[in-house]
Parts: sequence; structure tokens; C-alpha cells
Amino acid sequence: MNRRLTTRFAGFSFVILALGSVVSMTWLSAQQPVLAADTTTDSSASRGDHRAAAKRRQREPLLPLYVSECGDCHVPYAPRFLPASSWQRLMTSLPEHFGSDASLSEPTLGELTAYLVSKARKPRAKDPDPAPLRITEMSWWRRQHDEISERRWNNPRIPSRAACDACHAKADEGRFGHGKIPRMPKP
Amino acid sequence: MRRLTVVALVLVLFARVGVAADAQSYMQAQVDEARAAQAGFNADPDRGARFFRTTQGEDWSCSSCHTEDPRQAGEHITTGKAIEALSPLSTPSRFTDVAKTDKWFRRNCGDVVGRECTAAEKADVIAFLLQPAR
Repeated sequence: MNRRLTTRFAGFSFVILALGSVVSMTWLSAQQPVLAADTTTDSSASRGDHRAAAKRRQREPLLPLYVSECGDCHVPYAPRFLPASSWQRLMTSLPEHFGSDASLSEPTLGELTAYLVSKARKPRAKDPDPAPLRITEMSWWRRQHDEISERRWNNPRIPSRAACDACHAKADEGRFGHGKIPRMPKP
Repeated sequence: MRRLTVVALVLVLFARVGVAADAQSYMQAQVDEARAAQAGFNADPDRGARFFRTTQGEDWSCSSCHTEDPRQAGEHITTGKAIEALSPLSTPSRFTDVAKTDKWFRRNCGDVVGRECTAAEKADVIAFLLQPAR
């Protein structure tokens, strides 16, 4: 009887220990990139951090309210594509949004503006000034799409340059890897 | 056997009413509002169809994005984004959220008519959307 209890106790504490170590390992690995990003000043390390931070931003899901309010008409463009000043101008001119009335109720407008501004691109020296309203006018966008010929753009499966999802399969989730450019349909 | 057929028919009828119940009640609210201005007003699907398919002073009509047959899926005219069929007979979630319906009427009437739509116009359009295939 006594022996059976001891065995059971040993088994139980083993499980607790195992669980505890798994939890703490997960916690440590989750903490690591944040710590690294906060403390380093060395340039090569900070480039790595920059990449890690970019990866983290890629994986961060878009705000559901943003997707439901803006994603009905177009891809819910990732907030990191434009600097805060672009988002501010866009969000104060929604009744005339690229030729279309995209007005929002006051509370929704406030919440979405705060979201977009907080997740916006950090302004860089090479960014166009003043900040454009169109993502396609950003120099990073042009650089990343400069190998795509006009003929490709005219592919009927690419309705416009605004339709990121024609090539980037996960654009609706704010995730962009290398796109798969659709083939020209046979005439 | 005959009784079974009757039961089946009644069930089908109820299902049909259930599907578009929200659209029906939204339309009824518009009809009531229109009657305040114009006694004896009734929603007219044919008038709704004409309104839906022709331009109303601006560059686009409703059908520019929603196609001439609202039971078919459409596509945003500038961005190319797919739009689910507008008719609740094809897309049951349509008109189930009054705030969403109000928002889209406000925006799209701005684009198509250059002003907010009247209750009568909205009632006609919904009557058209609820019209089964002919």
C-alpha cells in the first residue's frame, strides 16, 4: 500500500517537472527575440534583428475589424506598407477614396486609424516625400516589382496593381512571400 | 403520400421565407418610411431592376460591380476584388446585419446616385433582389 503510493507520487512529480520544463522553455524562446531587439546596438546584429522584427510583423494577424471594414473592396493592405502620415491622409479622406465613397462610422474610423498608425512603416530617408496615398508609389514597392514586365501586368488574371492577391496567395492575411506570377492564358 | 407532399411543400415554403426574412423586414421598414411621404407606395421589383441596371447620374450603376443579375457573383470595378452575389436568395448572409446594410447603401448610393437613396429606391431594389429567377 505504502509502496504503491510512493510510486504514484514519483510518477506524478515527474509529470509536473516535465510540464514545467516545457512551459519554461517555451517562455524563454518567446522572450529571446524581444530581448535581443531591445538591447543591441551593434550594426550587424541590428540588421539581423531588423529581419527578425520584419518576420514577426509578417506573422502578426491583421485586426479583424480592419479586414471586415476595408477588405470587402480590396486586399486589406498590411499597415506596414505605408508610413503613418499616409494612413492619416487616407483615413481623413474616406468619403472620396480613389473615386469611391468608403466612409465609416465615427467609432470605427477612430479605431482603425489608431490601428493603422500604430502599425505603420517607420519613415525612412528614401521614402517619397510627401508620403503617397498609393502603395505602388512607395520606392520599396517599385524596387520589389521592377522585374515584372508591362506584358505581365496586362495579364487578365491581374485585375490591377491593387490586387496583390493575384500573385501573393496570402495577401489577405497580410503575409507576403515571393509571389507566383500567373501565366498568360493561351489565346 | 399526398399528405407527405403537402408537408414537404409547406417546409420548402417556410425555408424560402426564412432565408430572406431579414431582407424582407428591411424592405418592409423602407416601404413604411416611403408611405409616410407617398401614400399607397408599394415596392416594385421592375422599377428596382431599372434603377439597379442603369446609371443614376454618376459613372457607375449598381450592376457595374454586382452585375446585371444580382444572383451572380460580382467583382469590384476598380480593384477586381470578388464580390459575393448580392441577392439573399444566393447569399443567405446578405441583409442580416442592419448596420452593414445601412453602411453599404450610404456608400454605394453616394457612388451611383451622388446622394443617399430614398426609402422608396431602397425598397424597390430589395424587391428586385428578392425576385426569384424568371
